[in-house]
Amino acid sequence: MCQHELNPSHFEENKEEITHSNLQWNQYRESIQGMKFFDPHVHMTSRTTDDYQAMADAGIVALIEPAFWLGQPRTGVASFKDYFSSLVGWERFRSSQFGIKHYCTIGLNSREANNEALAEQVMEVLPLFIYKEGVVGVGEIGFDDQTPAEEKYYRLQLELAKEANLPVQIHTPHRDKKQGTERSMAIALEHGLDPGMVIIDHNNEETVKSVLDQGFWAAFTIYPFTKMGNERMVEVVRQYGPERIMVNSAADWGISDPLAVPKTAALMKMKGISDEAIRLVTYQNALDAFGKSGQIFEEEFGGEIDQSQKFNGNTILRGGQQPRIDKDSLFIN
Amino acid sequence: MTVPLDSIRLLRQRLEEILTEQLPENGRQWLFSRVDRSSTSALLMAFVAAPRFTGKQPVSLSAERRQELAELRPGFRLLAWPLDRVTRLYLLLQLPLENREAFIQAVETLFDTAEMNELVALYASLPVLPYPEAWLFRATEAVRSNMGLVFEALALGNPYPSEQFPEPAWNQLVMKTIFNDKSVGSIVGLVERSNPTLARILVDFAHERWAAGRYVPARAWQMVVPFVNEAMLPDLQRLFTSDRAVDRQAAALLCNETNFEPARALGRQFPVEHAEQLRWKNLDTQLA
Repeated sequence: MCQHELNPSHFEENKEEITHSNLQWNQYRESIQGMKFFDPHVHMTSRTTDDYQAMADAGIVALIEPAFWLGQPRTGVASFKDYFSSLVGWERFRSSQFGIKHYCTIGLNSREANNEALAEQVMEVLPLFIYKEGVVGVGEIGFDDQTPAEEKYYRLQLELAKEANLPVQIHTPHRDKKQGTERSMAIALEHGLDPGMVIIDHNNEETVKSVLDQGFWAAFTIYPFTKMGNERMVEVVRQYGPERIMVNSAADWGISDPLAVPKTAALMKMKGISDEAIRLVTYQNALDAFGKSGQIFEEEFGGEIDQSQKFNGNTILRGGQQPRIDKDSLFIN
Repeated sequence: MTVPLDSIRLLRQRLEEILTEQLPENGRQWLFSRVDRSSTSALLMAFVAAPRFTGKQPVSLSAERRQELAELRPGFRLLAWPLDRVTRLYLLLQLPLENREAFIQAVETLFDTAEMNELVALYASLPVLPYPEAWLFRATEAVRSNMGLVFEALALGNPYPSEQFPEPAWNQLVMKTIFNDKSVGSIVGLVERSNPTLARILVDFAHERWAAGRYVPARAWQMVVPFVNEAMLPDLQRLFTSDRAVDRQAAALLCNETNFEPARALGRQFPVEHAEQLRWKNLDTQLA
């Protein structure tokens, strides 16, 4: 199939080199038939139930929601507390309504680490959250501006992760990325973390080699503008193979695509990447990396919606939630 | 009811025996290394981390154990609790029971930061915590929850609400159970706490559901028995002519149990098969 049939989006940088293809559902559903996906970085708090529905339809069976910046700075520790609570509470429940297993990572993000008075208070409540069920790591933490305050709380949280024996999900900066990525890895090693417990996120062609060479996991965020396009992603997998590489959407409140993982899988399939390699980078590697938390049980994925609740002889509330409404139905009951 | 502190201490002892028997080896070691009554923060952390070590096997209780527990706290049951929840209750009972302020503050901290399974453990534990009046607001928050398991932990099989809720909060709990098609017969104190306002709300609600071509669970009508009146006669007639057997059975039970003679007379016009074998609890199996 030629690239232009894939309906390349407006995001391509020039006519010669297509970096991202915005696939439509009817163009790629066949390619990913029967595949299941694990999106290890997606901010569902910022997404709608339509997104959840579409993700479930596309085969996403589990996801990880890292704690992050909500688009504007929080002014008090209670806002953090409620946010962390929602990640292990309401959002997890909401996700379960669509048959998607929801995990999260908990941490103080780099931007808000710069408000030191608040950061101190957040550090105090973090231990109450990182040991909770379904918390599969400390994250996303790391550098944004690469200030001394960011470094201070990055280091403190690395120690916390080490003590709890949890994986670490590291955000790498948009600006001065290569240097920031190297620095993040060096500090993690300095603190004695096993690189096999550390997932370096938002890689690109420039950073991936060093990340893999040093034994870390390399995650790629498929964003058409600022991070990776899926066409580029296919080439990265072709070049480096599937080992220790994982794809995520990092979909949030900005322009982003919660279907980035299945779409990238479809593109890989169309471009001749093996099924096994696709499975590794869109499912298994994320499971293996974050599974080191001891909190991921694959047998709980998918299946009947709200299975665990039904096992206990219970059903979910119907007042607010109607799981799996047929969206094509004309009838509203 | 307020459970005497001595009974709570005895319960703590029983839970320790159960956990010693039933936790996996590493869970047992972890738990008993964490139990330090002098450190509230260590206990809170252990409460949070419990499932990582204890697993979620359902607790198994011999008939004697069930009997012992029932004597310590009537109406309270550990039936089929997973071991992490049993462990969490055990840890709650290690908090400073005699110090009202410190105990309440510690439990409030847990509520404030709880995820779903922690909330379930906290709400299911309310009947055996000291200072029952202190948890009233939290308990009404469970009724407001849209998370099914959290709501159920408080509303169903739990004696706390019937003992502590004022009438408006009680009515809200019952109606929310019905509204969400949960088992109304599992509410502890359903009949004892019924009241004329609740009966009126239920009848109004039935009219809404009927207009939408739906039903109310037949068991719910049991609450109405003491409050049947003239205005309800058409509703009874409607139940008797329902296409659902459980509705007709509920109508028969209502007319049989009420003291309101016109309703008893109406019942005699609609004979229901095996009327003498009808029981309210048997109507629970079919929901709306």
